[in-house]
Amino acid sequence: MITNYLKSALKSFKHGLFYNCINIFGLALGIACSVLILLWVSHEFSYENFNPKKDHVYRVIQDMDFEKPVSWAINQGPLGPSLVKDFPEIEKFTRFKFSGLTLEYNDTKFRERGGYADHDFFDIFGCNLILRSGDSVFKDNRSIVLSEKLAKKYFRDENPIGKTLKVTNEYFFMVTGVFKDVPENTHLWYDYLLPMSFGKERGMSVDRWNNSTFYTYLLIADGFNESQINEKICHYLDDKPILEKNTELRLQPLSAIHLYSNVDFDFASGDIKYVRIFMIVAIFILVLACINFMNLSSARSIRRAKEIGIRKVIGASRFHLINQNLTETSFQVFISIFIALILVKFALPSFNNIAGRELIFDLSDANLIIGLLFVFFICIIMSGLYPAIQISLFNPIQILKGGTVKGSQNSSFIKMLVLFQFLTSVTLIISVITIQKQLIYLQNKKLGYNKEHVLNFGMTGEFFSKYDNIKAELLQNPYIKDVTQMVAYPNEGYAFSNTLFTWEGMKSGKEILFRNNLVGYDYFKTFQMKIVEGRDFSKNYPTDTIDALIVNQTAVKSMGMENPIGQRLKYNNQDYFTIVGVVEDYNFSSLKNKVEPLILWLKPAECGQISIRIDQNNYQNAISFIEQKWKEYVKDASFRYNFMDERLNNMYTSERESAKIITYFAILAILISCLGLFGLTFYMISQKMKEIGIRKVFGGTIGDIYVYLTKTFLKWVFIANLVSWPVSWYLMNKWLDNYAYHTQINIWTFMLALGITLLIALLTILYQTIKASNSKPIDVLRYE
Amino acid sequence: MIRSTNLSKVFRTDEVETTALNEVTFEIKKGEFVAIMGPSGCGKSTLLNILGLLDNPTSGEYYFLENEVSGFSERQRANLRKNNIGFVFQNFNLIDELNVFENVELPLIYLGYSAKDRKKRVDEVLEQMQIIHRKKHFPLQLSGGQQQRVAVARAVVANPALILADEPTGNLDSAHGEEVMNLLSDLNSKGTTIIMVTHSQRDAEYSQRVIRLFDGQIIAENIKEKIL
Repeated sequence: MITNYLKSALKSFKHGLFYNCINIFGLALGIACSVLILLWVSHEFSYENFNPKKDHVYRVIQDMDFEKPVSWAINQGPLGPSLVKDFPEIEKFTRFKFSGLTLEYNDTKFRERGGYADHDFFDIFGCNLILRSGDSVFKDNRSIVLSEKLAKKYFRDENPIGKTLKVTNEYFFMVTGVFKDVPENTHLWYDYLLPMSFGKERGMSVDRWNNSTFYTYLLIADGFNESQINEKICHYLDDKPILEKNTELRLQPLSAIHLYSNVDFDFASGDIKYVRIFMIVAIFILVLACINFMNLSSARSIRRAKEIGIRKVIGASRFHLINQNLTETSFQVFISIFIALILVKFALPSFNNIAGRELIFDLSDANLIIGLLFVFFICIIMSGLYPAIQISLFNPIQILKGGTVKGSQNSSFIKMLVLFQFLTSVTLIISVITIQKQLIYLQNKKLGYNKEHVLNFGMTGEFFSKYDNIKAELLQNPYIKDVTQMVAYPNEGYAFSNTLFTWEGMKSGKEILFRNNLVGYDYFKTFQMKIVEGRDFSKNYPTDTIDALIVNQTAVKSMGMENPIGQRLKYNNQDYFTIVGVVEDYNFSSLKNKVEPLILWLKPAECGQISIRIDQNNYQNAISFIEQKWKEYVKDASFRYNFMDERLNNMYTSERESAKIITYFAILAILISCLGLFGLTFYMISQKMKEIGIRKVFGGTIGDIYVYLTKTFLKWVFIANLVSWPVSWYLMNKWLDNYAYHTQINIWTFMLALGITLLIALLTILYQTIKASNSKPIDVLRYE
Repeated sequence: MIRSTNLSKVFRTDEVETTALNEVTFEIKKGEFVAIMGPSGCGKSTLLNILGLLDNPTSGEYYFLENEVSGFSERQRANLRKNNIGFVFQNFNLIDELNVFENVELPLIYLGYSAKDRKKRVDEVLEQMQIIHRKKHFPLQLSGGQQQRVAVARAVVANPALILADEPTGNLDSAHGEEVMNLLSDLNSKGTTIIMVTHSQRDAEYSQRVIRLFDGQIIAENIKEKIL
């Protein structure tokens, strides 16, 4: 029986080769997309999986209640050790702080990324030490542990253990261990680790409660869960000498950091929102592809009605017919999956490029095989069952008498499916347009400062200590317009934030969280920010470095001051500062956030970052001159710089990546929908041939018939647009709500989507409608 | 009205060549009621399709209203057809998705009648065919006889000079068949030329002349008095 089914499947496949190819290619495309998305999704969920203790590791989060609730991923230095001491269920702790130091061995000298950590870090993070000297790798303040990659880079084939590395041209460190390279799927990446005691030596607030700068990770003992510990540590800081009042602690599971974290000072790059969106997109694309398959199969089954009729007459039961059809479908789905796998193989490098990931396609992966089997059965059920049942219901007598297969109910079902396909496509098109519009908006939004032609870099050594002289020398160059220094660049938020300012007439109630940045002279001038009241910091007022502040408009508003200039602010109940100027609000963080109260301090001595505005027409000359100066003062590090507009662009990398992925999948969804429409056209025209014939007999010209058919099909595209508009409007506004500053969805977005879909649909149906319009009525009516 | 000289139609497939009409010559005058008879496969329907400008002959001449139309393009044929010919089919060929009124209205739409004129004319014809009470019904809701009356209404709605009927009673019982034949007779008495393909001797009785076809050739023509 099966052989007979397979033979019949093969014959039917050969018979309608063109449509079968469309059918299979459409499904293959859908499966390939879904597999790619699922690979990406499973990668997103795989973060920290390599850590054998991941279920027991947590990061400590501080929740504070200012004007609005704020959460920080960083904590005070003594928190970790203190928690371990007070709670036996907390077994181990490690603090972590990023560092980027220059390492040197013989002629090899590079700036590397790494961090300061405590000795239990290796245990907590499942760090696989492949080489080590003795039990403890952090024996003293001068121990360094390197990644395998770094060890190879500096020591090549030599054994790195016991070798000495020069760090920041100043310190000599002994390599005490080498760990296996950190996989890509972790939120914490580092190529070297230094002991926290060295951080303390360099002045980090390791023992001070009044400063939050460390990430704290805890290892919790077996048998205790997150909520039990949270209950205990929630108010742990109440009696500690910390700066922020009303601070509560809670644990964040290690495995939740990548996708679920939404706290300040975090560096996790994932977002569960996008994972969910992409999963939905994957499911939709697969459904769209299956619908195509279903439609084309139903359409073809009408052509095969006679065969089905004969099979029924000679004894095939419904069960037999359903089985036969499902065998045929399985055969085609199998070929589709095979083609899909080839497509995935070839598309993966480009996909990795777009998604900024290193996904691996490994057919021996059990999860992938289970996934593919699942897709196989889902496709068979979704695409094969309906046509199979429908075929089994054909009336053999009617068919064999030469009658047509009644398909009116059937065709409205198919129309609904194609409507759904176009609905999805229109929604995706509107999403793509809106996301692109928002990206353009983010790029062009006036931020309150001029981001163009500003070059930035971090100062070091003499370049920093002789800043004033160097600035004067730089300004001698006609192509250098302005020079300034600061701790945090204008797009990068702030140096620190707290609630320690008070002032006369301050209303009791909620504290105001002020963001603070430390800047040098000419900061506002260099970035072309507008001082709306008062004055800029000036060397004419020598005390500006001691007690002057400039605040932004939002700060003035939050403090409820009518005449801010000259008002005195008390800091930490000790020192008095005077507001000397008000700067127009500028966006100092991502446009997702509203501008917050900001206070700028004049502290040149602490500002290690430099920004230089250069002449846009002679920027090469300017850069060469700056580089020359750098080389004059800095002997041990190469000159590396970036531009302000690049830094701003980098802030929205995740948006751009997601937009790219969504755009590509939207194009694919549209392509798949077009195949669907192609199938529907094929199907409906097969059904309408008699009607076309009658219309022509009674005087319809080719033009009349073409217009009539086109109207019939485009009607569905119109309806899909109308239904999609409110849905897309709602979804996209929800997405835009993530941004405090965003573009608007207007009528043109919808019109553009309508135009695109109509044009695509028109092109899709063109060939078949022209062919049908040109058919001779007699050819059709002869069958009747 | 109609004149054909040596009209032939050959159907070719990759392997087989079938001569459906073999040098058929005849003439039909305005106002005649002609029946074409013959066994299955003798070329009756092929002839009717050519006469109705639905198909072109392979060779020979065909004059319709004094125009030589055998070489006409589809567009020219469509134009001539919609202005002059009405069709009645054995299986009615009504459009299932359109109701009675819309089916009958169709030829008038293609002739460019205004909606108002269409309504007036369709109502008139439906009245005449005694089917006006069913004008909102869909074909599948009607009996065979009713469906054929609708088909006849559609054929005559544009006042064509010629009606071609392809076994108009083939799918009907005798009572309904008679009803349809009376309708056609009526139309003929008012001046419409009718050419009807039929198997039925009884239906042929309604005509004034019978053309007998066999193997694509005319084997006999009998002229007789119309039975009324």
